Amino acid sequence: MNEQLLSFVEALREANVKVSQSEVVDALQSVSAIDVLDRDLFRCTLAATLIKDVLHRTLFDRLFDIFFPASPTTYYREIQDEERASEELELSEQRSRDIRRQLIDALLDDDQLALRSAIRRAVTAFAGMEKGRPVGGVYYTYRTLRQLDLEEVVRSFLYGLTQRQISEQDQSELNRKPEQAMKSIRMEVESEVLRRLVGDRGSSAVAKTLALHLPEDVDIVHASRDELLDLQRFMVPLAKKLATRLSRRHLSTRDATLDFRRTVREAMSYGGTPATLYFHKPKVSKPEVVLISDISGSVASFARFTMQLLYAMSNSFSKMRSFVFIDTIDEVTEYFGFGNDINDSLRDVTTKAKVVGLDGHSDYGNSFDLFEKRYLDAVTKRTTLIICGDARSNYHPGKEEILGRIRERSRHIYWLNPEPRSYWNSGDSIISSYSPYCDGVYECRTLRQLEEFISKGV
Amino acid sequence: MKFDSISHVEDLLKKQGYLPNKEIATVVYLAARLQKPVLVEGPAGTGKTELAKSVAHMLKMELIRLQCYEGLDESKAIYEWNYRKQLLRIQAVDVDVKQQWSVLSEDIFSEEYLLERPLLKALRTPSQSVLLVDEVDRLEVEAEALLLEVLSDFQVSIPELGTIASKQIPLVFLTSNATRDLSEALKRRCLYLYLDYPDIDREREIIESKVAGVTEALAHQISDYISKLRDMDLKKRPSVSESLDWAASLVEMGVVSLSRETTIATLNILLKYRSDIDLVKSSLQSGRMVLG
Repeated sequence: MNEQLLSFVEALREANVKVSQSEVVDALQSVSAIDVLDRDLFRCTLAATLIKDVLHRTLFDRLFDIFFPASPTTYYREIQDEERASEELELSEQRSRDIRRQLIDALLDDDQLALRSAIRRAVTAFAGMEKGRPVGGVYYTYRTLRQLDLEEVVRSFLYGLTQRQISEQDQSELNRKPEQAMKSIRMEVESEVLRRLVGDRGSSAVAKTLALHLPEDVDIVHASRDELLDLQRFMVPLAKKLATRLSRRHLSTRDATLDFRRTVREAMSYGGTPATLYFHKPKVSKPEVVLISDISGSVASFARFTMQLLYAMSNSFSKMRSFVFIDTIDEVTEYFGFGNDINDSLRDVTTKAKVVGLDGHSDYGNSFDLFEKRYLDAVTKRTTLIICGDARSNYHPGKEEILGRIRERSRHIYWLNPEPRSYWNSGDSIISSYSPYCDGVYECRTLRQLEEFISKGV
Repeated sequence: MKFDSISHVEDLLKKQGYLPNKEIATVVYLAARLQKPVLVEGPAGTGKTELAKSVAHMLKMELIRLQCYEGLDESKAIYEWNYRKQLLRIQAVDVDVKQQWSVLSEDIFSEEYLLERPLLKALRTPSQSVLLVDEVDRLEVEAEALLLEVLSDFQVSIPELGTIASKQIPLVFLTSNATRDLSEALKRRCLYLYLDYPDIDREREIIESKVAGVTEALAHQISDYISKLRDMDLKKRPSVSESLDWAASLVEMGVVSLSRETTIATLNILLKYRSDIDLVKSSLQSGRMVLG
């Protein structure tokens, strides 16, 4: 048991969760203080002692399921029985229909146990799992779902629902049902496959093949659409953090000026000895931010990411203007106004913003030129300028002197580049000609890097 | 203070009118058992501070509260010398004795001239107390260090007096709205509890237990509607206390069942931003959002 716990910790660490030795000791102590047979309780206890960031919880839960599956012993006996039974039965059309029927009934009755047992049968019949193969199970899940004919199942389920008596209140719920059913079937199949893989090859091996990572380590440039959508949740706290960083007051007394009047007055109660020094409260600066983002094809998924950031930021900054460009620059501030949902904003940016005036390939020089001509009033001494892009200007002139002029007028310029540092300045990348005018150029292809920029760079 | 079991914690909290889920009860139990501080994180208005208060109440312990803010320092958090009194003491001595500075300095840096601030107080009260360090994320990173010695060793070092160890180990709750990351050093020393908005059922129970005269049907509607609101992209999502206010006002108005009109008319209790109210209003009017 302790050994399993330690390999669990090992897997967490491998996925980049920082777990210190003292936390492991806490976990072991806590576990000895509770009833470990209560799985939920066991899960809470480990989470409270090992995970100190709510964003790490999803990963924790997935690994927990791998390392501490529900009631394993009786469970594997059941599977074995089923597998023996399945050897006798050919995989006939009749059997598939049978399984489907069982699944639909379970859904209609909203019976979790029946659902699980139907899924178990389905995985046995359809997944075609081979022992000892070092795979993550995606393929098995896919095979099961395909042969199960998920859409057909959901259709029959809906039909069955409408046959039953439905009150008016439920009517509005009806629209959500198919999606819920699909989701729960998919999740059940996934966890069932996972459980069998663990039974076959052991927790640590499976955890390794799955190569789970924290949301902050997802590579934005190669992320799937779903992963990108998922990142949205983390953007808002990050944008807030950026806002607090930029408006941070300098409260250290060394920078403050002495409030002579108050110090002398308070000193009277100490018989004239100025025992306490009082300082003027520093003014809170309202951060002004201008974000300029390349949204050309070469950085498409990064552009989506910056748009997400922009969206989150526009809710945290009162004074913020945003611009996008490919070879021409356009202002998009209003598309991110209050009450606009992120998808509306994105649609508006792609359909309304005029970013192509020439050949439709990124042109940094021209875009900066137009920015200076049209929007220079957006930049004041209090402005922090953030430029997002890979600085690949397709061999167009970079016109870095313009950036120099903008720099003179602004407070800071930061550049976030989605390319790995090793690619910089190769080919048509001209990042080094811009970097002298920036207060910092950062590689930014994961949330972690973005966070580092926010907490250390700014 | 140790609890008999986790369900014991649950019962005690319930008696205080705080409805815990299993996770909350478990963490409180472990905190008492392992004598570890608890870091409670989550959005505003989910009952973080309330938890510490309820725990203090149910154990009949004194609640000592340290409200954090930017610029909080040692003299506000731990201790300060009572300069006034020291000065009076110095002026009061005889001119002859004035020579004996060593005697005097020993005297004015003694307990008598020490002003206790919350952290020191929590350690020195004779009976066990509950220490609430509220909104710890408002401290600057550097100021977090003030807490570390107290939290891990339950002691405070005062150069003139030496180390003051605690007479008993207080139950410590730190709350944070996660506006910034807390340092690893601090997190490592704490148990972690994330308090999210309650799910529909728990919220309904909370409303039923806190708002007198609310019918089950109305509480159900309210909690269902609030959870829909929290799924929307709002500037500030309604907190539990706001949904309680709303429920209380609805009961006051004699509402039996939520209608679109009453909801629109009372939205300002739930939502605090003009833009949020407009957004919800328009989605209600257009029928995109349906009252359960």
